[in-house]
This record gives sequence, C-alpha cells and structure tokens, in this order.
Amino acid sequence: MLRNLSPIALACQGPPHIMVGGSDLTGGSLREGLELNKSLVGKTFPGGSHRIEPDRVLKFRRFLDCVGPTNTYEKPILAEGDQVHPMFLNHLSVRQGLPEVFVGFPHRHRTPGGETLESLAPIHIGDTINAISRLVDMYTKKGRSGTMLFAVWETEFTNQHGKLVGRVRLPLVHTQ
Amino acid sequence: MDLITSIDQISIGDEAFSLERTITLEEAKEYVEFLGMQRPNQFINSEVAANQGYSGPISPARMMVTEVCGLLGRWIPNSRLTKLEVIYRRTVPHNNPYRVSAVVTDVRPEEGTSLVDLDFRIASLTGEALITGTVILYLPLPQRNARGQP
Repeated sequence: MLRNLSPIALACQGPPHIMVGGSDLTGGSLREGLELNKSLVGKTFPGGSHRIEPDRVLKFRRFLDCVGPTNTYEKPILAEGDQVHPMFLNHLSVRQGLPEVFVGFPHRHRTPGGETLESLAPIHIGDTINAISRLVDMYTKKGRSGTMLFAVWETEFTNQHGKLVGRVRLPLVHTQ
Repeated sequence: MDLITSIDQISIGDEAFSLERTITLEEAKEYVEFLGMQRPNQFINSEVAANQGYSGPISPARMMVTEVCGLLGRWIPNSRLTKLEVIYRRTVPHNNPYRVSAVVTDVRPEEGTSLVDLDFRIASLTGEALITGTVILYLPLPQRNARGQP
C-alpha cells in the first residue's frame, strides 16, 4: 500500500523502504527483524527561502506572548532590523516538502517526538532565511501500542549572508 | 513572576514561573492558520483526531512550547534563547488546563555575560508530565562587584 509520493520521494524511490523478509506489510502487523532501507539517510532536501516579514512576526509574537485571540492583542510596532525570537525558525514552512520515508508502513499518524532548537546567531525582520533539511537517522522502537518508526530530521538555517543562524533537530515518530 | 535585572538575582533551584494555562479550539485554529497547515487536521477536527487515535482535537505542542519561550522572555526581558530541547510525552486536548513551570538548574557567569540553564515542565493538573525540556538562556548582564556596581 503506497501513499501518494511527493516528486522528491519518487526521485528517491528505490526498493521498498520497509522490508520484512520480503513480506507484504499491507494491513499486517510488524514483526521482529524489521529492515529499514536507509538509502535516504544523509540526503538533503531544500526547505526554501523565507523572508522574515513584519506581519508574520507580529502574528508569531501573539503566540509567544500567549495573550489569546487577536482582538485582545496590543500590537507592538515592528521595524526592519528588529531582532526576532529564534523560535520563529521553528515556524517556517520548511518541512512540508519532506518525503515520506516509511512508505508502505501502515501508520496512523506521524508526530514529533520532541525537538532541539539551537540559536547560533540572531535573526531579524527583513532577513532571508534559507533552510536545508537532512535525514540523519532512521530506527525502530517498541512501544506499548506496537512498533514505532523514527525518522530524525535536521534542518539548518542560514541567512542572506550565508551565516548559519540556527539548527533544528526533529525526530518524527510513525506509530501504528 | 519577578523580573530579573541582575544575574545575582538568579540561583539554582529558583522557579522562573509556574502558572495554569488552557488552550481553546479558537486559539488552536489561529495557530494552525498561522502555520499554514493543511485542513482538516488533528488540532482542529474531531474526526481527523479520532482517526489518529485521539479522544478529540489536540493542542499543538509547539504552540505550548512557544508560550514557554515567551514566559522566559518576560522573566528576563533582555535574555536570548540559545538552546531548547523538548520531549513531547502526551497530548493535551483543548480546554484542558495544564500547569507550565520552569526551574533554574545552573547559572554560569562569564565575563560580561551569563548563561542560565532551566528545566521546564508542562504537566496536567494531576501532575502527569505532558511536555518536558531544557532551555539555555544567554544573558548580557554583568555581574556586580562587591560594591554592587556592574
């Protein structure tokens, strides 16, 4: 059972990513000896260029300041060059183009198990942030509700000067 | 929540903040819209949430962590977050109050600056850990000398 694949995933498509002695996993439960095709590990995927716009930062600030719905928020005045909280990097849409690495695994959902954000240099309104994501690891783990598959992604963010400004490490957990 | 103006005000074991918070469906919708997430999804739609094994729409965990960052910024207004590590343990349905708190675990003064390590915790009102993590804040605050001068 294959999901719809993004062009990136199709380009990387090789042998099935989940193999258990060649058995078809559709609708079945995973058994010991799960074999992962790690051909995607180490590969990088572009996450696009994102200009830090004042209106985006204004909206983001609402969640940072946990002040509730828009109509209760006293809007600050933001200007080009104002420093932006590094957590803003985690709100750039850089992961929507990431391939589905566990093709064929009948998982109910895919969710972050956690994340690590490193702020390496300040970011500002008006900066253009470039993102590149890389699959750094894939592994399995037994949980209470069955086998979980982990895909660990690392995204590096550079600004318009090529300076590394941040890094996010994100383990995505696929559960049955 | 006392504002920090000097590194001398911070000691290991200090509680930066501890408060109750609840995320509503309306707030989750605004967050999801800000992220540009595909609709429907598990954060705002009961059916999608149920299909994924949840009892109802869940609060976006990153939204909750973003608020922690904001609270830390209010505790020390001119601090800068340098590292954040988070573990998502359990999901939180909407309109379920939870407690968010942070405690200082280390203070590392350096010349002209300081680093403060904190553990933060988001827990149910019964004490069950929902999200845990650590934060390192960079503080451009000078230590004060024996005369109380920076």
